[in-house]
Amino acid sequence: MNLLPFVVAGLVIGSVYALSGVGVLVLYRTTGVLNFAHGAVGGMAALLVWQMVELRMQPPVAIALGVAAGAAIALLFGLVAGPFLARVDQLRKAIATLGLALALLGLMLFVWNDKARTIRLESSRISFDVAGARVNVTQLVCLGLALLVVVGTLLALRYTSTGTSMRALASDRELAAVVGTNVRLVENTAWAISGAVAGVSGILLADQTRLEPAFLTFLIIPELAAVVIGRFVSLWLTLVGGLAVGVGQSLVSAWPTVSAFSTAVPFVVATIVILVAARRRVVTVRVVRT
Amino acid sequence: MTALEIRDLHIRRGGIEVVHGIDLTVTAGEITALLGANGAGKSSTVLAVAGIVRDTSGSITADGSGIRGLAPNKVRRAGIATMQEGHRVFSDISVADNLAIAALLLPRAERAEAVESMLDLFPEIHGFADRPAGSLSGGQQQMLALATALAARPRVLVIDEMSLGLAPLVVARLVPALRAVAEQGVGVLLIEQFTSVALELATSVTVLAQGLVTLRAPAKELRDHPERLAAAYRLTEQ
Repeated sequence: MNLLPFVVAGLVIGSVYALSGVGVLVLYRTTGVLNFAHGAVGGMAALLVWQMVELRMQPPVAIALGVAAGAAIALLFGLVAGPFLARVDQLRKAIATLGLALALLGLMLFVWNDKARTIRLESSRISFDVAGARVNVTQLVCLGLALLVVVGTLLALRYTSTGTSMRALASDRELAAVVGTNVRLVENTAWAISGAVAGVSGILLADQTRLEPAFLTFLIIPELAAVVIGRFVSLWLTLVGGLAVGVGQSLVSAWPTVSAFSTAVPFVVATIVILVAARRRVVTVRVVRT
Repeated sequence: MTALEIRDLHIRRGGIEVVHGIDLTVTAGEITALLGANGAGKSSTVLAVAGIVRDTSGSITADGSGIRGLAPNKVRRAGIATMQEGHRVFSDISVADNLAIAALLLPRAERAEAVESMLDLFPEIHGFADRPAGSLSGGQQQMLALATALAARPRVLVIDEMSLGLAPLVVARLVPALRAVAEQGVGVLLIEQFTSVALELATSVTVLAQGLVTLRAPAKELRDHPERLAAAYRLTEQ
């Protein structure tokens, strides 16, 4: 069996997981909120794009508005819930976003029902062969965008005022406020950026897979697996994690006997990483003690 | 000129009042020491001034503007810099970036110079500008914490336990630095458990015991009559 098409498909989906994971990670490090609604925000953005295109809007305009809608939904939640979330522990923060995910899922099902749709981007119509595998321009955009967002985020965190303030919040929120960082403004910026990233990811996934509310909402699981592989710290490892999960899922789905277990791949990969990391830490501690 | 004025300040923590209506004035260009035993209410006063503890009543004004109840970043923007207890720094961020974060309050064109001038003020940390702050020694971290507080040129500097846990040599290094800060016109409120350092630096002293002011006197007077200070520490126990 020629596995290359599966590897290519896996890399593409994995790059979108990674892209989404970067959004989750930046928000988590800045606000302390692990956003389980990230996938649902992406799903909502993708459905809005589909709706606007159905209403004969130009696709580029619809995509721009869809991404803006993702940013606006996340920002609105950050504005309303942020002050309360700042005062509660991380578990409650995460559960609050689970509530948002379910509310958005309910709204999507109410407005658009659970029918699977597709968004077919113009760039997906242009394709070519690479070593026997068919590759389209959208797939290249997915891969390039993931890399660009990782590099761009690293540069922004290092060289911009907002990025520097985000690092300060990630390091010590109280101290950041004491030295003058406008915590609410930086947090709201993180919500908006994360929402925009969710929007882009949702639209790309709707093109590459299918536009279905529950499917896109629960894509937060492989996205979170990428963040876990990045140890909630590293953008590069989050990228690697996303690609590994995507390729793993795609390869498992290539074999009919085990394809039903492809959804378990994120758990398996994340668990292996956690166990290996924990084992390495134990070994390190033993070596130090010896 | 009064830089920071506290009037009838009550502070509650966990619903219990721990400071019961204290008055305190910090003059520009002078060091005012706030002394007292553990649990006297010194750190609560710092946290209330910094905006971290907000369950308060009374008034706190900086240059005539009320700052009580403001968020910490707004207090800092009002010109009050706070150096918290325990040489607190952004430990996973480089020394230079610790200073850069504080310098964000300045206009963009002045930030790099502010970072450089703080590194020059403490040559002990200059060579470690690219290292994570957490890798510095306790004394170096305290120097960085002081430099971070000073980076955006505050009008008032509030320092909680500057000498706590530091070697005498390090404290001796910080003393002239703090004196130089006050000479530049900054009003300094120095909270200390160890009276010798505070009396050496301060112009005036206020003593707290169990959340009440028990003594207010010039530092020189207390250097000459240390028994008055000891009595003030015990006052509410009698």
